[in-house]
Amino acid sequence: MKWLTPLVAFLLAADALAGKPQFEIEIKNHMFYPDRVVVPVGTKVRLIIHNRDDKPEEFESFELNREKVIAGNATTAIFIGPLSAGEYPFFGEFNLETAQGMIIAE
Amino acid sequence: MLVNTFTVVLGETLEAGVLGSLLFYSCHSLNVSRKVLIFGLIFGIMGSALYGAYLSEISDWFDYTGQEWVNALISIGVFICLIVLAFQLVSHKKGSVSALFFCSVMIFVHEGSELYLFYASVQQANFWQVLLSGLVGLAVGASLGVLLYYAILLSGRYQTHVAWVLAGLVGAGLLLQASQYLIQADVLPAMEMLWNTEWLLSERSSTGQLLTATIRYESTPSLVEAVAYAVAWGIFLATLKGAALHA
Repeated sequence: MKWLTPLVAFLLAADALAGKPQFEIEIKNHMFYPDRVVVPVGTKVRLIIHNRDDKPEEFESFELNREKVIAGNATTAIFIGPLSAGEYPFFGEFNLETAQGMIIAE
Repeated sequence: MLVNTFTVVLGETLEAGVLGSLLFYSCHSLNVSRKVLIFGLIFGIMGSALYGAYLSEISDWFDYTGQEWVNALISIGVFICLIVLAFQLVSHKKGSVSALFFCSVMIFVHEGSELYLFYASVQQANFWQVLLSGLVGLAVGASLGVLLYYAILLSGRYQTHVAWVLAGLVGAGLLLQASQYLIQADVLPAMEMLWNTEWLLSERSSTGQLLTATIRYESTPSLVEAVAYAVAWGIFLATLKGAALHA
């Protein structure tokens, strides 16, 4: 079974190198920047979200089935997709009036 | 009143209200003192404050997926406690104080941490307005829990059946939620949605939000989520069959 460890290490490294496309979003003054993010169809992508506000915010989307709280002045990551072509709204649950955005898969 | 605050607090309180009604009924049916739930509430509030205060550090774990791991483990933990309680209710065995205690602690950590963070996000200027709107949401959610508790008691000789069906619905929803957290963390594979019932019942509608908050209604589930839901019911029904044999 000794061969298993290097094989697992190789597979993990290959996966890390292959990576997934990353897209960055910032939260500033309870708004998303950019508020429209275009991602490739049929590909899993990693959203990196930086909350530049002092207060926490919750990234949520019914269409993407995603929900995550981001502490103030913190960074987090969320995997989304693979998505079919279309528009997927998301919002900040703690500041609904201002924190609105859209993922566009094309 | 602030509608968004009311909705956020109500959403978090509803699931706790449904689970609370089940825990109160379990105490009643299994002859366990309700004090265990009060201790659970106290430890749960302390745990939720700790979780909320260290959320940033926890989120950084495992390449920014710590929050998903912790939430998934809490959901699975509550599911296991519900299985234990359902077994005891059906088999008429002596009630497990530890299952009731851990279940209540985990429920309050799970629901309370988000409320803690929500209130941490409130601007100083309208704090009292937000607090008052939240208290109304809390009162409505808690009232639903009380109503459900008496509805279970009023179902007479069917009370055990009503309780385990409710526990099954909530438990399966919790396992589905755990699968969603693990998909979000890229631990489980994300797949195309199996079906879309958005046209029939939108998650944005009042009824959709109510069902999402209580039994984790999902209008666009993927295969992994559907399997998690089915597996939860399979485990639940197998446990009940085993409990009936031990009765």
